[in-house]
Amino acid sequence: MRKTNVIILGAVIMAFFVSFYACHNPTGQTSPKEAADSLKTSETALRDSLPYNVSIAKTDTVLDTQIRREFDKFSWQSFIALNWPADSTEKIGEHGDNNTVWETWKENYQVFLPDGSKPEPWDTAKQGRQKLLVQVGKTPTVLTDVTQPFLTGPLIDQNGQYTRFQIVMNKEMFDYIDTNTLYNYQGQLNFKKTIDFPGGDNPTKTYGAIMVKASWKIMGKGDDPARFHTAKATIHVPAIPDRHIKDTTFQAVVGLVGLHIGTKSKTNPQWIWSTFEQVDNCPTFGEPDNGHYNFYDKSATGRKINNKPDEPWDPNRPGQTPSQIVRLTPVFSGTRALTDSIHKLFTAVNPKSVWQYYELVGTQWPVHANQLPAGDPFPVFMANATLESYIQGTVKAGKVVYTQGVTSSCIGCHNGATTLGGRTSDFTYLLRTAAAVKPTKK
Amino acid sequence: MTLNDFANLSVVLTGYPLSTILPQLDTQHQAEEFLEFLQTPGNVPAGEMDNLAAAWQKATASGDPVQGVKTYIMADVTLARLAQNIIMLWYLGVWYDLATPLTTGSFAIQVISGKAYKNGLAWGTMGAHPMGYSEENFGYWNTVPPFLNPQPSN
Repeated sequence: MRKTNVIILGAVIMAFFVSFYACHNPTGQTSPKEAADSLKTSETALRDSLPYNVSIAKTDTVLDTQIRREFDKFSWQSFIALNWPADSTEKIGEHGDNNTVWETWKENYQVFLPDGSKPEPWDTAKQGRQKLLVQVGKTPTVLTDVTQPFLTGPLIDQNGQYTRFQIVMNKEMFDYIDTNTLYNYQGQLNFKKTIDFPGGDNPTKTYGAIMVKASWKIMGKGDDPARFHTAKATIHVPAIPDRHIKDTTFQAVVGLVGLHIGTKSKTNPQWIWSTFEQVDNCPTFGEPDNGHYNFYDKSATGRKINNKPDEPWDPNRPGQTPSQIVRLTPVFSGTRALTDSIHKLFTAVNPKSVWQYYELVGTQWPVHANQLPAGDPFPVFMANATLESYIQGTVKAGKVVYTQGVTSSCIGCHNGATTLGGRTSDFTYLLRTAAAVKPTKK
Repeated sequence: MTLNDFANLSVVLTGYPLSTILPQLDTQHQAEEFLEFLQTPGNVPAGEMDNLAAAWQKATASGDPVQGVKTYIMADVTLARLAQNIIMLWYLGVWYDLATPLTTGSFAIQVISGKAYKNGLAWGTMGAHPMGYSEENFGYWNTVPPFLNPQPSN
Protein backbone atom coordinates (compact mmCIF):
# COMPACT_ATOMS: atom_id res chain seq x y z
CA MET A 1 0.00 0.00 0.00
CA ARG A 2 2.79 2.36 0.99
CA LYS A 3 4.72 1.45 -2.17
CA THR A 4 1.65 2.20 -4.26
CA ASN A 5 1.31 5.60 -2.62
CA VAL A 6 4.93 6.38 -3.35
CA ILE A 7 4.47 5.47 -7.00
CA ILE A 8 1.35 7.62 -7.24
CA LEU A 9 3.09 10.49 -5.50
CA GLY A 10 6.04 10.13 -7.87
CA ALA A 11 3.74 10.12 -10.86
CA VAL A 12 1.95 13.22 -9.59
CA ILE A 13 5.26 15.04 -9.07
CA MET A 14 6.44 13.98 -12.53
CA ALA A 15 3.17 15.12 -14.08
CA PHE A 16 3.45 18.42 -12.25
CA PHE A 17 6.89 19.12 -13.65
CA VAL A 18 5.93 17.96 -17.12
CA SER A 19 2.85 20.17 -17.09
CA PHE A 20 4.81 23.03 -15.54
CA TYR A 21 7.37 23.05 -18.29
CA ALA A 22 4.70 22.46 -20.90
CA CYS A 23 3.03 25.63 -19.70
CA HIS A 24 6.00 27.77 -18.90
CA ASN A 25 8.88 26.39 -20.87
CA PRO A 26 7.25 24.81 -23.85
CA THR A 27 9.58 26.09 -26.51
CA GLY A 28 11.44 23.04 -27.61
CA GLN A 29 14.07 25.55 -28.77
CA THR A 30 16.65 24.65 -26.14
CA SER A 31 19.17 22.26 -27.57
CA PRO A 32 20.93 19.79 -25.26
CA LYS A 33 24.24 21.44 -26.17
CA GLU A 34 23.01 24.87 -25.09
CA ALA A 35 21.79 23.47 -21.80
CA ALA A 36 25.07 21.67 -21.24
CA ASP A 37 27.08 24.78 -22.09
CA SER A 38 25.09 26.74 -19.56
CA LEU A 39 25.42 24.13 -16.85
CA LYS A 40 29.16 23.74 -17.07
CA THR A 41 29.80 27.44 -16.75
CA SER A 42 31.23 28.20 -13.35
CA GLU A 43 30.17 31.86 -13.46
CA THR A 44 26.59 30.86 -12.88
CA ALA A 45 27.27 29.54 -9.38
CA LEU A 46 25.25 31.15 -6.61
CA ARG A 47 27.21 34.07 -5.20
CA ASP A 48 26.25 37.07 -3.14
CA SER A 49 28.61 39.44 -4.95
CA LEU A 50 27.27 41.78 -7.60
CA PRO A 51 29.20 41.79 -10.87
CA TYR A 52 30.91 45.09 -11.70
CA ASN A 53 30.64 44.71 -15.44
CA VAL A 54 30.05 42.03 -18.03
CA SER A 55 33.06 40.05 -19.22
CA ILE A 56 33.29 39.11 -22.88
CA ALA A 57 35.98 36.63 -23.88
CA LYS A 58 37.84 37.25 -27.13
CA THR A 59 36.54 33.94 -28.36
CA ASP A 60 32.96 35.20 -27.97
CA THR A 61 32.25 36.56 -31.43
CA VAL A 62 28.70 35.46 -32.19
CA LEU A 63 26.18 38.06 -31.11
CA ASP A 64 22.99 35.99 -30.88
CA THR A 65 24.47 33.19 -28.84
CA GLN A 66 27.94 33.65 -27.35
CA ILE A 67 27.87 37.33 -26.48
CA ARG A 68 24.23 37.26 -25.46
CA ARG A 69 25.01 34.39 -23.11
CA GLU A 70 27.64 36.48 -21.31
CA PHE A 71 25.15 39.31 -20.82
CA ASP A 72 22.52 36.83 -19.64
CA LYS A 73 25.00 35.43 -17.15
CA PHE A 74 25.64 38.97 -15.94
CA SER A 75 21.88 39.38 -15.51
CA TRP A 76 21.55 36.22 -13.46
CA GLN A 77 24.59 37.09 -11.36
CA SER A 78 22.99 40.44 -10.67
CA PHE A 79 19.61 38.89 -9.86
CA ILE A 80 21.14 36.38 -7.47
CA ALA A 81 23.26 38.96 -5.65
CA LEU A 82 20.42 41.48 -5.44
CA ASN A 83 18.04 38.88 -4.06
CA TRP A 84 20.57 37.48 -1.63
CA PRO A 85 19.46 37.68 2.02
CA ALA A 86 20.29 41.19 3.15
CA ASP A 87 20.81 40.50 6.80
CA SER A 88 22.18 37.02 7.12
CA THR A 89 24.89 34.68 6.00
CA GLU A 90 22.41 32.24 4.55
CA LYS A 91 22.20 31.42 0.87
CA ILE A 92 19.49 32.75 -1.37
CA GLY A 93 16.29 30.80 -0.85
CA GLU A 94 17.75 28.65 1.90
CA HIS A 95 14.46 28.95 3.77
CA GLY A 96 12.35 29.17 0.65
CA ASP A 97 12.02 32.93 0.60
CA ASN A 98 14.15 35.70 2.09
CA ASN A 99 14.37 39.44 2.41
CA THR A 100 16.65 40.90 -0.24
CA VAL A 101 19.52 43.31 -0.72
CA TRP A 102 17.76 45.54 -3.19
CA GLU A 103 14.82 46.09 -0.87
CA THR A 104 17.19 47.90 1.49
CA TRP A 105 18.16 50.41 -1.22
CA LYS A 106 16.82 53.94 -1.53
CA GLU A 107 13.37 54.23 -3.04
CA ASN A 108 12.80 57.03 -5.50
CA TYR A 109 10.33 58.76 -3.17
CA GLN A 110 13.02 58.74 -0.46
CA VAL A 111 15.40 60.59 -2.77
CA PHE A 112 13.09 63.00 -4.57
CA LEU A 113 11.20 64.53 -1.68
CA PRO A 114 7.98 66.52 -2.12
CA ASP A 115 9.63 69.72 -0.90
CA GLY A 116 12.86 69.21 -2.85
CA SER A 117 14.90 69.01 0.31
CA LYS A 118 18.09 67.03 0.78
CA PRO A 119 17.36 63.31 1.30
CA GLU A 120 18.38 61.40 4.38
CA PRO A 121 21.86 59.82 4.28
CA TRP A 122 22.24 56.28 2.95
CA ASP A 123 21.16 53.83 5.67
CA THR A 124 20.14 50.36 4.53
CA ALA A 125 18.71 49.38 7.90
CA LYS A 126 16.38 52.36 7.87
CA GLN A 127 15.52 52.18 4.19
CA GLY A 128 14.50 48.53 4.25
CA ARG A 129 12.38 48.72 7.36
CA GLN A 130 9.02 49.12 5.71
CA LYS A 131 7.80 48.70 2.16
CA LEU A 132 5.52 51.47 0.99
CA LEU A 133 4.06 51.02 -2.47
CA VAL A 134 2.54 54.11 -3.95
CA GLN A 135 2.82 53.63 -7.68
CA VAL A 136 0.19 51.99 -9.85
CA GLY A 137 2.10 52.51 -13.06
CA LYS A 138 5.67 52.16 -14.20
CA THR A 139 5.89 55.88 -14.71
CA PRO A 140 6.41 57.36 -11.27
CA THR A 141 3.84 60.09 -11.73
CA VAL A 142 1.08 57.90 -13.06
CA LEU A 143 -2.29 58.72 -11.49
CA THR A 144 -0.75 61.61 -9.61
CA ASP A 145 0.05 63.93 -12.49
CA VAL A 146 -2.77 64.85 -14.84
CA THR A 147 -0.65 67.02 -17.11
CA GLN A 148 1.56 64.25 -18.41
CA PRO A 149 0.16 61.97 -21.06
CA PHE A 150 1.25 58.40 -20.49
CA LEU A 151 0.89 55.30 -22.54
CA THR A 152 1.64 52.73 -19.86
CA GLY A 153 -1.71 51.99 -18.29
CA PRO A 154 -2.29 50.07 -15.08
CA LEU A 155 -1.95 46.31 -15.01
CA ILE A 156 -4.87 44.51 -13.35
CA ASP A 157 -4.47 40.96 -12.07
CA GLN A 158 -7.00 38.12 -12.15
CA ASN A 159 -8.43 39.24 -8.82
CA GLY A 160 -9.15 42.72 -10.16
CA GLN A 161 -6.28 44.28 -8.21
CA TYR A 162 -3.88 46.82 -9.63
CA THR A 163 -0.24 45.81 -9.85
CA ARG A 164 2.02 48.06 -7.79
CA PHE A 165 5.45 49.32 -8.78
CA GLN A 166 8.56 50.30 -6.96
CA ILE A 167 11.85 51.88 -8.05
CA VAL A 168 15.02 51.77 -5.99
CA MET A 169 18.62 52.76 -6.61
CA ASN A 170 21.97 51.69 -5.23
CA LYS A 171 24.35 53.81 -3.18
CA GLU A 172 26.50 54.77 -6.18
CA MET A 173 23.52 56.23 -7.98
CA PHE A 174 22.16 57.87 -4.87
CA ASP A 175 25.53 59.43 -4.04
CA TYR A 176 25.81 60.96 -7.51
CA ILE A 177 22.33 62.50 -7.19
CA ASP A 178 22.98 63.64 -3.64
CA THR A 179 26.45 65.07 -4.24
CA ASN A 180 25.36 67.00 -7.31
CA THR A 181 22.06 68.20 -5.79
CA LEU A 182 20.08 66.57 -8.57
CA TYR A 183 17.30 65.74 -6.12
CA ASN A 184 15.51 69.02 -6.77
CA TYR A 185 14.59 71.27 -9.68
CA GLN A 186 16.98 74.07 -8.81
CA GLY A 187 19.88 71.68 -8.46
CA GLN A 188 19.22 70.21 -11.87
CA LEU A 189 19.03 73.68 -13.45
CA ASN A 190 22.33 74.66 -11.86
CA PHE A 191 24.12 71.49 -12.94
CA LYS A 192 25.98 72.56 -16.08
CA LYS A 193 27.96 69.41 -16.82
CA THR A 194 26.71 66.37 -18.69
CA ILE A 195 25.03 63.99 -16.32
CA ASP A 196 27.21 60.90 -16.17
CA PHE A 197 26.46 58.33 -13.50
CA PRO A 198 29.38 56.12 -12.46
CA GLY A 199 29.90 53.00 -14.53
CA GLY A 200 30.89 49.61 -13.16
CA ASP A 201 34.39 48.50 -13.98
CA ASN A 202 36.08 45.12 -13.57
CA PRO A 203 39.76 46.18 -13.46
CA THR A 204 39.21 48.71 -10.67
CA LYS A 205 36.45 46.65 -9.02
CA THR A 206 34.09 49.58 -8.82
CA TYR A 207 30.34 49.43 -8.96
CA GLY A 208 28.28 51.54 -11.28
CA ALA A 209 24.86 53.06 -10.83
CA ILE A 210 22.10 50.47 -10.57
CA MET A 211 18.35 51.02 -10.76
CA VAL A 212 15.84 48.32 -9.88
CA LYS A 213 12.20 48.51 -10.90
CA ALA A 214 9.91 45.96 -9.34
CA SER A 215 6.31 45.06 -9.98
CA TRP A 216 4.20 43.47 -7.27
CA LYS A 217 0.78 41.87 -7.21
CA ILE A 218 -1.44 41.74 -4.17
CA MET A 219 -1.61 38.10 -3.16
CA GLY A 220 -5.11 36.72 -3.28
CA LYS A 221 -7.36 34.02 -4.61
CA GLY A 222 -5.58 31.55 -6.86
CA ASP A 223 -2.09 32.73 -5.93
CA ASP A 224 0.31 30.23 -4.39
CA PRO A 225 2.63 32.13 -2.02
CA ALA A 226 5.18 29.32 -2.29
CA ARG A 227 5.84 30.43 -5.87
CA PHE A 228 6.49 34.11 -5.09
CA HIS A 229 8.94 36.27 -3.25
CA THR A 230 6.50 37.99 -0.94
CA ALA A 231 6.58 40.97 1.36
CA LYS A 232 4.23 42.78 3.68
CA ALA A 233 3.57 46.20 2.25
CA THR A 234 1.73 49.35 3.02
CA ILE A 235 -0.11 50.35 -0.11
CA HIS A 236 -0.98 53.97 -0.55
CA VAL A 237 -3.14 55.47 -3.26
CA PRO A 238 -2.71 59.22 -3.21
CA ALA A 239 -5.86 61.27 -3.68
CA ILE A 240 -6.55 62.90 -7.03
CA PRO A 241 -9.69 64.96 -6.42
CA ASP A 242 -10.40 65.87 -10.04
CA ARG A 243 -10.37 62.19 -10.93
CA HIS A 244 -12.44 61.34 -7.86
CA ILE A 245 -9.66 59.10 -6.56
CA LYS A 246 -9.64 58.95 -2.79
CA ASP A 247 -6.62 58.78 -0.56
CA THR A 248 -6.41 55.18 0.54
CA THR A 249 -3.94 53.23 2.62
CA PHE A 250 -4.01 49.55 3.47
CA GLN A 251 -1.75 46.65 4.37
CA ALA A 252 -1.29 43.66 2.11
CA VAL A 253 0.99 40.78 1.31
CA VAL A 254 2.42 41.34 -2.15
CA GLY A 255 4.21 38.96 -4.48
CA LEU A 256 7.02 39.95 -6.82
CA VAL A 257 5.98 39.51 -10.46
CA GLY A 258 8.58 41.55 -12.35
CA LEU A 259 12.07 42.91 -11.84
CA HIS A 260 14.06 45.22 -14.07
CA ILE A 261 17.73 45.74 -13.27
CA GLY A 262 19.48 48.63 -15.02
CA THR A 263 23.25 48.67 -14.55
CA LYS A 264 25.60 51.30 -15.91
CA SER A 265 29.08 50.07 -16.76
CA LYS A 266 32.21 51.61 -18.24
CA THR A 267 31.91 49.61 -21.42
CA ASN A 268 28.13 49.88 -21.59
CA PRO A 269 27.39 53.56 -21.01
CA GLN A 270 23.86 53.06 -22.35
CA TRP A 271 23.46 50.68 -19.39
CA ILE A 272 22.78 46.95 -19.31
CA TRP A 273 19.09 46.17 -18.98
CA SER A 274 18.14 42.85 -17.38
CA THR A 275 14.52 41.89 -16.96
CA PHE A 276 12.98 39.05 -14.96
CA GLU A 277 9.47 37.78 -14.36
CA GLN A 278 7.59 35.39 -12.18
CA VAL A 279 6.90 32.33 -14.35
CA ASP A 280 3.11 32.38 -13.90
CA ASN A 281 2.59 35.85 -15.34
CA CYS A 282 1.22 35.03 -18.78
CA PRO A 283 1.47 32.63 -21.70
CA THR A 284 3.63 33.27 -24.74
CA PHE A 285 2.05 34.07 -28.09
CA GLY A 286 1.65 30.95 -30.18
CA GLU A 287 2.39 28.59 -27.31
CA PRO A 288 0.06 26.58 -25.02
CA ASP A 289 -1.91 28.71 -22.58
CA ASN A 290 -3.03 26.12 -20.06
CA GLY A 291 -2.66 26.75 -16.38
CA HIS A 292 -3.24 29.55 -13.95
CA TYR A 293 -1.70 32.89 -14.82
CA ASN A 294 -1.43 36.11 -12.90
CA PHE A 295 -2.48 38.28 -15.84
CA TYR A 296 -4.26 35.98 -18.29
CA ASP A 297 -7.46 33.98 -18.26
CA LYS A 298 -7.90 31.44 -21.02
CA SER A 299 -11.65 31.34 -20.51
CA ALA A 300 -11.98 35.10 -21.03
CA THR A 301 -12.12 34.83 -24.81
CA GLY A 302 -13.82 38.19 -25.25
CA ARG A 303 -10.94 40.20 -23.84
CA LYS A 304 -8.44 41.79 -26.19
CA ILE A 305 -4.88 40.84 -25.41
CA ASN A 306 -2.42 43.48 -24.20
CA ASN A 307 -5.14 46.11 -24.20
CA LYS A 308 -5.04 48.95 -21.69
CA PRO A 309 -7.92 48.93 -19.16
CA ASP A 310 -10.77 51.28 -19.88
CA GLU A 311 -10.56 54.64 -18.17
CA PRO A 312 -11.17 56.08 -15.67
CA TRP A 313 -8.34 54.29 -13.93
CA ASP A 314 -8.96 54.06 -10.23
CA PRO A 315 -7.15 51.49 -8.08
CA ASN A 316 -9.85 51.83 -5.44
CA ARG A 317 -12.68 50.80 -7.76
CA PRO A 318 -13.73 47.18 -7.15
CA GLY A 319 -14.64 44.70 -9.86
CA GLN A 320 -12.43 45.99 -12.61
CA THR A 321 -11.81 43.80 -15.63
CA PRO A 322 -8.46 42.00 -15.38
CA SER A 323 -5.78 42.61 -17.97
CA GLN A 324 -5.33 39.90 -20.58
CA ILE A 325 -1.60 39.77 -21.13
CA VAL A 326 0.34 37.60 -23.56
CA ARG A 327 4.10 37.68 -24.06
CA LEU A 328 4.59 38.49 -27.70
CA THR A 329 8.30 37.72 -27.99
CA PRO A 330 9.35 34.26 -26.83
CA VAL A 331 12.29 34.11 -24.47
CA PHE A 332 15.42 33.17 -26.44
CA SER A 333 16.20 29.46 -26.23
CA GLY A 334 19.73 30.01 -24.89
CA THR A 335 18.36 32.31 -22.20
CA ARG A 336 15.87 29.63 -21.18
CA ALA A 337 18.64 27.06 -21.01
CA LEU A 338 20.65 29.29 -18.72
CA THR A 339 17.57 29.90 -16.56
CA ASP A 340 17.01 26.14 -16.30
CA SER A 341 20.54 25.68 -15.03
CA ILE A 342 20.14 28.46 -12.47
CA HIS A 343 16.87 26.95 -11.26
CA LYS A 344 18.74 23.72 -10.56
CA LEU A 345 21.15 25.67 -8.37
CA PHE A 346 18.25 27.22 -6.48
CA THR A 347 16.54 23.89 -5.86
CA ALA A 348 19.83 22.32 -4.78
CA VAL A 349 19.88 24.85 -1.93
CA ASN A 350 16.23 24.25 -1.12
CA PRO A 351 13.67 22.42 -3.28
CA LYS A 352 11.12 24.96 -2.06
CA SER A 353 13.13 28.02 -3.05
CA VAL A 354 10.78 30.66 -4.38
CA TRP A 355 13.54 31.88 -6.70
CA GLN A 356 13.07 28.88 -8.97
CA TYR A 357 9.86 30.57 -10.10
CA TYR A 358 11.60 33.55 -11.64
CA GLU A 359 12.89 33.57 -15.18
CA LEU A 360 15.16 35.83 -17.15
CA VAL A 361 13.15 37.33 -20.00
CA GLY A 362 16.19 38.91 -21.58
CA THR A 363 19.14 41.27 -21.41
CA GLN A 364 19.50 44.31 -23.65
CA TRP A 365 22.85 46.02 -24.10
CA PRO A 366 24.53 48.43 -26.51
CA VAL A 367 26.43 46.42 -29.12
CA HIS A 368 28.23 49.41 -30.60
CA ALA A 369 28.36 51.53 -27.48
CA ASN A 370 30.94 54.01 -28.71
CA GLN A 371 29.80 54.35 -32.31
CA LEU A 372 26.21 55.45 -31.86
CA PRO A 373 24.44 57.52 -29.18
CA ALA A 374 21.91 54.78 -28.50
CA GLY A 375 24.65 52.19 -28.88
CA ASP A 376 22.81 49.92 -31.34
CA PRO A 377 20.88 47.97 -28.69
CA PHE A 378 20.38 44.23 -28.89
CA PRO A 379 17.95 42.63 -28.86
CA VAL A 380 16.33 45.53 -30.67
CA PHE A 381 13.08 45.09 -28.75
CA MET A 382 12.58 43.75 -25.24
CA ALA A 383 9.62 43.89 -22.91
CA ASN A 384 8.67 42.73 -19.46
CA ALA A 385 5.04 41.60 -19.51
CA THR A 386 4.37 43.34 -16.19
CA LEU A 387 6.24 46.56 -16.88
CA GLU A 388 5.73 47.09 -20.61
CA SER A 389 2.53 45.09 -20.95
CA TYR A 390 0.94 47.23 -23.62
CA ILE A 391 3.92 48.13 -25.80
CA GLN A 392 5.29 44.68 -26.63
CA GLY A 393 4.30 44.99 -30.26
CA THR A 394 1.07 44.22 -32.08
CA VAL A 395 -0.41 41.14 -33.68
CA LYS A 396 -1.45 41.52 -37.31
CA ALA A 397 -2.64 38.62 -39.42
CA GLY A 398 -1.36 36.18 -36.83
CA LYS A 399 2.13 37.65 -36.77
CA VAL A 400 3.84 39.87 -34.21
CA VAL A 401 4.74 43.26 -35.66
CA TYR A 402 7.31 45.53 -34.03
CA THR A 403 7.50 49.26 -34.64
CA GLN A 404 10.68 51.26 -34.19
CA GLY A 405 10.20 53.99 -31.63
CA VAL A 406 6.93 52.48 -30.40
CA THR A 407 7.59 48.88 -29.39
CA SER A 408 9.35 48.50 -26.05
CA SER A 409 13.11 48.93 -26.03
CA CYS A 410 14.80 49.84 -22.74
CA ILE A 411 17.66 51.76 -24.33
CA GLY A 412 15.52 53.18 -27.10
CA CYS A 413 13.13 54.70 -24.57
CA HIS A 414 15.60 55.75 -21.89
CA ASN A 415 17.84 57.42 -24.46
CA GLY A 416 15.27 60.20 -24.48
CA ALA A 417 15.34 60.79 -20.72
CA THR A 418 16.07 64.33 -19.58
CA THR A 419 16.40 66.42 -16.47
CA LEU A 420 13.83 69.03 -15.51
CA GLY A 421 16.24 71.46 -17.13
CA GLY A 422 15.88 69.76 -20.52
CA ARG A 423 19.33 68.17 -20.57
CA THR A 424 19.98 64.54 -21.27
CA SER A 425 19.91 62.65 -17.97
CA ASP A 426 21.96 59.52 -18.69
CA PHE A 427 19.17 57.05 -19.35
CA THR A 428 17.07 57.66 -16.27
CA TYR A 429 13.70 59.35 -16.01
CA LEU A 430 13.90 59.44 -12.24
CA LEU A 431 15.35 62.94 -12.18
CA ARG A 432 12.14 64.24 -13.66
CA THR A 433 10.31 63.29 -10.46
CA ALA A 434 12.23 65.93 -8.49
CA ALA A 435 10.31 68.79 -6.96
CA ALA A 436 11.29 72.43 -6.69
CA VAL A 437 12.38 73.97 -3.44
CA LYS A 438 9.90 76.69 -2.56
CA PRO A 439 11.41 80.05 -1.70
CA THR A 440 11.34 80.81 2.00
CA LYS A 441 9.22 83.74 3.17
CA LYS A 442 11.12 86.72 4.47
CA MET B 1 22.06 33.96 -54.21
CA THR B 2 23.82 33.50 -50.89
CA LEU B 3 23.80 36.11 -48.17
CA ASN B 4 27.54 36.68 -48.53
CA ASP B 5 27.25 37.10 -52.30
CA PHE B 6 24.38 39.54 -51.86
CA ALA B 7 26.28 41.50 -49.23
CA ASN B 8 29.45 41.73 -51.32
CA LEU B 9 27.46 42.76 -54.39
CA SER B 10 25.73 45.38 -52.23
CA VAL B 11 29.13 46.73 -51.18
CA VAL B 12 29.94 47.45 -54.81
CA LEU B 13 26.48 48.83 -55.56
CA THR B 14 26.20 51.13 -52.54
CA GLY B 15 29.83 52.09 -52.03
CA TYR B 16 29.57 51.29 -48.34
CA PRO B 17 31.97 48.77 -46.78
CA LEU B 18 30.99 45.28 -45.72
CA SER B 19 31.15 46.40 -42.08
CA THR B 20 28.13 48.60 -42.80
CA ILE B 21 26.26 46.23 -45.09
CA LEU B 22 26.79 43.08 -43.04
CA PRO B 23 28.35 44.01 -39.69
CA GLN B 24 30.10 41.28 -37.78
CA LEU B 25 27.87 42.06 -34.80
CA ASP B 26 24.65 42.57 -36.69
CA THR B 27 21.68 43.69 -34.60
CA GLN B 28 19.50 44.67 -37.55
CA HIS B 29 19.88 41.80 -40.03
CA GLN B 30 19.05 44.26 -42.77
CA ALA B 31 20.87 42.38 -45.53
CA GLU B 32 18.90 39.24 -44.64
CA GLU B 33 15.62 41.13 -44.86
CA PHE B 34 16.49 42.57 -48.25
CA LEU B 35 17.63 39.24 -49.66
CA GLU B 36 14.52 37.52 -48.36
CA PHE B 37 12.41 40.21 -50.02
CA LEU B 38 14.25 39.78 -53.33
CA GLN B 39 13.83 36.03 -53.21
CA THR B 40 10.13 36.13 -52.38
CA PRO B 41 8.16 35.08 -55.46
CA GLY B 42 6.41 37.98 -57.09
CA ASN B 43 8.82 40.71 -56.05
CA VAL B 44 11.40 39.97 -58.75
CA PRO B 45 10.55 38.18 -62.02
CA ALA B 46 11.41 34.50 -61.98
CA GLY B 47 15.00 33.75 -62.91
CA GLU B 48 16.31 37.31 -62.54
CA MET B 49 17.91 36.72 -59.16
CA ASP B 50 19.62 33.62 -60.54
CA ASN B 51 20.87 35.69 -63.48
CA LEU B 52 22.11 38.36 -61.09
CA ALA B 53 23.91 35.74 -59.01
CA ALA B 54 25.57 34.30 -62.11
CA ALA B 55 26.64 37.76 -63.28
CA TRP B 56 28.08 38.49 -59.84
CA GLN B 57 30.09 35.28 -59.98
CA LYS B 58 31.57 36.42 -63.29
CA ALA B 59 32.29 39.85 -61.84
CA THR B 60 34.21 38.41 -58.90
CA ALA B 61 36.00 35.88 -61.09
CA SER B 62 37.32 38.77 -63.20
CA GLY B 63 39.47 39.87 -60.25
CA ASP B 64 38.03 43.39 -60.24
CA PRO B 65 34.49 43.24 -58.82
CA VAL B 66 33.75 46.94 -59.44
CA GLN B 67 34.69 46.72 -63.11
CA GLY B 68 33.04 43.32 -63.26
CA VAL B 69 29.73 44.75 -62.05
CA LYS B 70 29.94 47.43 -64.75
CA THR B 71 30.65 44.79 -67.39
CA TYR B 72 28.36 41.95 -66.41
CA ILE B 73 25.52 43.69 -64.59
CA MET B 74 25.23 47.37 -65.46
CA ALA B 75 25.69 46.71 -69.17
CA ASP B 76 22.69 44.39 -69.15
CA VAL B 77 19.44 46.39 -69.29
CA THR B 78 17.42 43.97 -67.17
CA LEU B 79 20.11 43.32 -64.57
CA ALA B 80 21.05 47.00 -64.45
CA ARG B 81 17.50 47.90 -63.53
CA LEU B 82 17.44 45.24 -60.82
CA ALA B 83 20.78 46.52 -59.51
CA GLN B 84 19.45 50.09 -59.44
CA ASN B 85 16.45 48.86 -57.47
CA ILE B 86 18.77 47.17 -54.98
CA ILE B 87 20.70 50.44 -54.59
CA MET B 88 17.45 52.29 -53.87
CA LEU B 89 16.42 49.54 -51.50
CA TRP B 90 19.59 50.04 -49.46
CA TYR B 91 19.48 53.83 -49.51
CA LEU B 92 15.76 54.40 -49.05
CA GLY B 93 14.27 51.15 -47.84
CA VAL B 94 11.91 51.46 -50.78
CA TRP B 95 11.17 49.01 -53.59
CA TYR B 96 10.28 50.52 -56.95
CA ASP B 97 8.03 48.63 -59.31
CA LEU B 98 10.37 46.90 -61.74
CA ALA B 99 7.85 47.03 -64.56
CA THR B 100 7.83 50.83 -64.61
CA PRO B 101 10.74 52.51 -66.44
CA LEU B 102 12.73 54.79 -64.16
CA THR B 103 12.43 57.58 -66.72
CA THR B 104 8.66 57.86 -66.35
CA GLY B 105 8.92 59.70 -63.05
CA SER B 106 5.84 57.96 -61.70
CA PHE B 107 6.28 54.74 -59.79
CA ALA B 108 4.42 52.30 -57.66
CA ILE B 109 6.66 52.14 -54.62
CA GLN B 110 6.65 50.10 -51.46
CA VAL B 111 8.42 50.80 -48.18
CA ILE B 112 9.26 47.23 -47.40
CA SER B 113 9.34 47.68 -43.61
CA GLY B 114 9.72 50.26 -40.90
CA LYS B 115 13.13 48.82 -40.15
CA ALA B 116 14.26 49.14 -43.77
CA TYR B 117 13.10 52.76 -43.85
CA LYS B 118 14.88 53.57 -40.59
CA ASN B 119 18.06 51.86 -41.73
CA GLY B 120 18.13 53.56 -45.15
CA LEU B 121 21.70 54.59 -45.97
CA ALA B 122 20.45 57.91 -47.32
CA TRP B 123 19.97 59.28 -43.82
CA GLY B 124 23.51 58.74 -42.61
CA THR B 125 24.96 59.71 -45.99
CA MET B 126 23.47 63.18 -45.75
CA GLY B 127 23.91 63.53 -42.00
CA ALA B 128 20.27 63.27 -41.08
CA HIS B 129 17.85 60.85 -39.47
CA PRO B 130 14.59 59.34 -40.63
CA MET B 131 11.60 61.60 -40.24
CA GLY B 132 9.91 60.78 -36.96
CA TYR B 133 12.75 58.68 -35.62
CA SER B 134 16.16 59.40 -34.16
CA GLU B 135 18.61 57.46 -32.05
CA GLU B 136 20.57 60.58 -31.19
CA ASN B 137 20.69 61.97 -27.69
CA PHE B 138 18.09 64.46 -26.55
CA GLY B 139 18.97 67.88 -27.96
CA TYR B 140 20.60 66.48 -31.10
CA TRP B 141 18.87 69.14 -33.20
CA ASN B 142 21.12 71.70 -31.58
CA THR B 143 24.36 70.02 -32.65
CA VAL B 144 26.16 69.21 -35.90
CA PRO B 145 24.46 66.16 -37.38
CA PRO B 146 26.52 62.97 -37.55
CA PHE B 147 27.29 61.34 -40.89
CA LEU B 148 27.34 57.62 -41.37
CA ASN B 149 30.92 56.59 -40.88
CA PRO B 150 32.63 55.53 -43.06
CA GLN B 151 31.05 57.24 -46.03
CA PRO B 152 30.65 55.43 -49.37
CA SER B 153 33.90 54.93 -51.21
CA ASN B 154 32.86 54.77 -54.84
